[in-house]
Amino acid sequence: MKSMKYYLMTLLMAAICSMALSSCSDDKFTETIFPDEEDVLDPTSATYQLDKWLRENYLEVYNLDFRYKMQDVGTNMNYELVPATYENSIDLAVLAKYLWFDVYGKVVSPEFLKMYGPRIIHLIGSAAYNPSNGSMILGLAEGGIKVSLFRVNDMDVNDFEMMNEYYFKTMHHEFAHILHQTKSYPVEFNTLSVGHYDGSNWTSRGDEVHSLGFVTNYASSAFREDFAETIANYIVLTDAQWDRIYELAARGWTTDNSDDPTASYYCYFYYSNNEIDEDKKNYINESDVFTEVDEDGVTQLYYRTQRDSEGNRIKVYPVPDTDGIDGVAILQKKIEIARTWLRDDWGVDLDALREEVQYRQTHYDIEALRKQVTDIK
Amino acid sequence: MKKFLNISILLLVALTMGFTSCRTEDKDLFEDSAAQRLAKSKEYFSDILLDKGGKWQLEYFTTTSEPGYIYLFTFASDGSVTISGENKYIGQVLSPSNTDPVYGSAVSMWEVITDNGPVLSLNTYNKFFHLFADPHDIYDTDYNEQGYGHEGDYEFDLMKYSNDTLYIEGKKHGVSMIMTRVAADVDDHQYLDEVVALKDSLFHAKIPTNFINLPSGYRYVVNGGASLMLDLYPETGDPISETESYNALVTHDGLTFMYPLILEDRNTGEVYEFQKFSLAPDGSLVCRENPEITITADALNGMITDTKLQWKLNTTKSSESGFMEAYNALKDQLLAANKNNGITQVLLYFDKNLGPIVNPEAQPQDQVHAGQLVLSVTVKVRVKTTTRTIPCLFYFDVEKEGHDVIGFKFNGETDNAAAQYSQNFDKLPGLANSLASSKYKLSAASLLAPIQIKMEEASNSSNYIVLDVIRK
Repeated sequence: MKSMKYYLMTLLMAAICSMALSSCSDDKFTETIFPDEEDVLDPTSATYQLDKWLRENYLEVYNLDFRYKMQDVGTNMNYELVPATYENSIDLAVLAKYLWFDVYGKVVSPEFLKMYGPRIIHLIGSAAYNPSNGSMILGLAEGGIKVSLFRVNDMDVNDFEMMNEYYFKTMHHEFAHILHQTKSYPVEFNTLSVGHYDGSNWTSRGDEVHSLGFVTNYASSAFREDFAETIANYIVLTDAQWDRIYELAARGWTTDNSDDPTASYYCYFYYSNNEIDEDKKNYINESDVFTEVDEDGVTQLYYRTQRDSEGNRIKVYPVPDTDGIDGVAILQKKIEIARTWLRDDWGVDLDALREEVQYRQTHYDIEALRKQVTDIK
Repeated sequence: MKKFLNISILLLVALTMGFTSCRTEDKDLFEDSAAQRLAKSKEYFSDILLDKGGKWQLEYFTTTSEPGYIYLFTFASDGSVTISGENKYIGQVLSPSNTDPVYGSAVSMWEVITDNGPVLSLNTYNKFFHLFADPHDIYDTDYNEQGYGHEGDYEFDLMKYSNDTLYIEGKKHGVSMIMTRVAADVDDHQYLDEVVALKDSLFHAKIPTNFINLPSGYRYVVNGGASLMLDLYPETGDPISETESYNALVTHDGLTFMYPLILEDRNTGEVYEFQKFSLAPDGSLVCRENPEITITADALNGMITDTKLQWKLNTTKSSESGFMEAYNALKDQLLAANKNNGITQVLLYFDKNLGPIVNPEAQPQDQVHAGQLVLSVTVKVRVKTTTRTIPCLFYFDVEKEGHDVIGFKFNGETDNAAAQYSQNFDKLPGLANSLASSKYKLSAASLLAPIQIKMEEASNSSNYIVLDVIRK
C-alpha cells in the first residue's frame, strides 16, 4: 500500500510539472519575424521584361528559379567569378527553354521536370578556373536542386556546338546526376571501364580515351561522371561527331612513356629516313599525317613535313590496337545501359530526346526567341 | 524509502524545468526582429544611394599590386546603374594592347541585398567595371593571372554612412573603400578626364623623385609616383633594404593611398599615420589628416642641381632683358663670325645639348669639376651637308638659400673649347658672367611636378629666364 507521503509527493510533482509545462502558455503566435515582401514584379524595373518572362516560362511551368542576377553568396567563394551580362542572360534563358526544358516537356512531360528538374538555375558570367591544375568548371549541380552555368559572357548563340559544350550538354550532364542520385543506374555500368578511371590526371588525357570506351576525357575521371557524360553527349553530339568518336575509339594508341599518367598518346608512327628499325620509330599526331591513294587504289599515309635522304616521302603507319579493349563496343554498351535505365526507370525515350534536340539545335531562330522577352509590355 | 527518493529526484528535475523555462524571456533589446531590421537597413541604404540624383564616386582598389581607379556610379530607381571609368583596362576591353586611359560608360544592374548585413551588389556584368573581378589573364603583365584576374570585388558590405560618404568593404576580398556623393549634374566624361589630367600633372614622368615631408622637415623619398605604385624609403635610410611599396589613386582633388601609411620621423621618433592628400594651390599635396605633412618634389634649387635632370633654356618664355641680353649678344656674335668665315649657314639649337644646361655631371670625365654646375653653350655649325657640334662648358659653384633661391659663382673655370672660343668671342664669357651676376628666385606652377622653373633675378623680377626639364 502506498503511503500518504507517496501520494502527496506525486500530487505535488504533477502540479509542478503542470506549472512547468504551462509556464510558457501565454506565449502567443506573434507576427512573423520576417518582413512582408511583395511578390509582385515592378513594371518600372529595368529588368521587368526578363523577370516577367522567367516567371511565366520557368517558375510557373517548371517551378524553377532562373537566377541571372548573380549573388556570390550562392557560389563557391574560393573562385573569382563575375555575373552574367543582362543581354546574354536573355539569350541563355530563351535558348535553355527551347533546347532543353521544352524538349523534356515534349518528349516526357512538363510534370517530369517539375518533379525531378532542378529548382534553381544560376548563371555565372565567367569560368570557374582552378589554377592549380588548369581546369575549369563548366557546370555544377548541387544536391539535385541547383545547376550553375558558367562562362555565360563568352557564349556565341550562333555556335550550337559551343552552346552545347558549355551549357546544354552541361545541363543534360547535371540532370543525369540528379536522376541517378534519385534512382541508381545498373552497377554493370561501373564495371565496363574499371581500372581505367583516373580522377587526378584526366585533364591530361586526349582522344585516346575513346579507345578505352570513354566519350570524353572527363568521363574517364570517375564512373558517375562517365554515366552522366555518356547520356549528355549521346543527346547533343551530332551523328558526324559520334562517327568521329567511334573512329578514334577503333584505333590503336600508344605512348613513349607509359609510366607517366600525363604522357601524350599517339595513333601513328614512322621510321626515320624510312629505315624500318625499332630504334628509329617515332610517334606523331594525326595533324602531321596526310593520305594519298596510290596507283593500286590503296590509301597510303605519309608524314606531312618530312622526306627521307633520297627525297621520298616518309611513310606513316597506324599504331596497332593491342590493348585488348574494344572502345566502340564499350561505348555502345554504356549507351545501351543508359537507354534501358532511362526507359525502364524513368519512362524517358533517350533516342526521342536526342532526335528532338538534334532537330532543335539546328533550327532555332535566336531573334524570334529573344522577341518573346523584348516584346513584353 | 527508495520510492520517496525517486519521487524527490523527479520533483527536483521538474522544479528545475519550471524555473528555467522562462529564464530567457528577457524583454527584446530591439523593437524589430533581426530580419526586419535587416530589411530596413536594405531600404535605408537603397534610399541613400538613390538620394540627390544617385551619383557617387568610388575610390576602387583591388590588390596592393596595382593602383586604384576612380569610378562614377549613377544609381537609378529602376534597378539600373550607369558605371563610368577612365583607365587603361577600359581601353583594353576595346583593344587588348591599349596602354592609355580610355573613358568608358555602361549600364548594368544593382541591388542592395541582405546577406549577413546590407550589401551593395552589382549583380549583372558591366564590361567597364566587372573587368576587375573577371578571372581572365591580365594582358600587360608578365604573369599568368588566369583564375585570379585583378581580384577586384563587385559586392560591397555597406558599413557606414556619414556626410555623403559611404564606407564600404569588398565582400570577397575585404578591401575597405569609400564612396562619396557627387553632384547629379556632373558630366561623367568631363569629370573623369579631369581626374586623369590631375594624375598626369601630379606625378610627371620627368620628375623621378618626390618626397613626403613630415612636420619636422624629415623626408621620405618617393619614387614611382607616375605609376601610382609609390616606393618609399626614409631619406636617411637604406634605399635597398628599407623601400616599401604603397599603391594609391588620384581622385578629383587629391590622392588616396589604399591603406594608411605609418611613417616614423627618424629625427624626433614621432610616428604619423595618414592616408589622404588634397591638392594645394601651390601644386603640392597636403595631408588631410595632418596638414603639416606634404608631398612635393625636391626644393626648387635642389631640382636645378639634381644629377638625374638637365634644364634647357626656354627662349620664348624668357624675358628679353637681363641674362637674355647677354645670350642674344652671343648669338649675334656667333652668327656674324660664321658669316665672315664663308660658312653657308649657322644654326643655334637650344635642345638638350644647347643653351644653358645645368648639370653637375654633364662631363663625367672631368672629375675636377664634379659637383659643380655646368653651363653648356653648344653651337651647331652646318658646313655644306655636315653639321659640327661645338660644346663649350663653363663651371660654376652653386649657392643655395632656403628652398627657392640660387646663385651661381663663376671663377673663370671652363673646358678647353670654352677657353679657346672665349678668346675669339668675348660674348661667350660674357654670358657666363651674366649668369653669375645675380641671385635668382625660383618658382614653378607645381611644387610636386616642377617641369618648368622660372628664375627671376632677385634684384629685378622683370629679368627672368625659364628652364624646361629634361630627364637624363
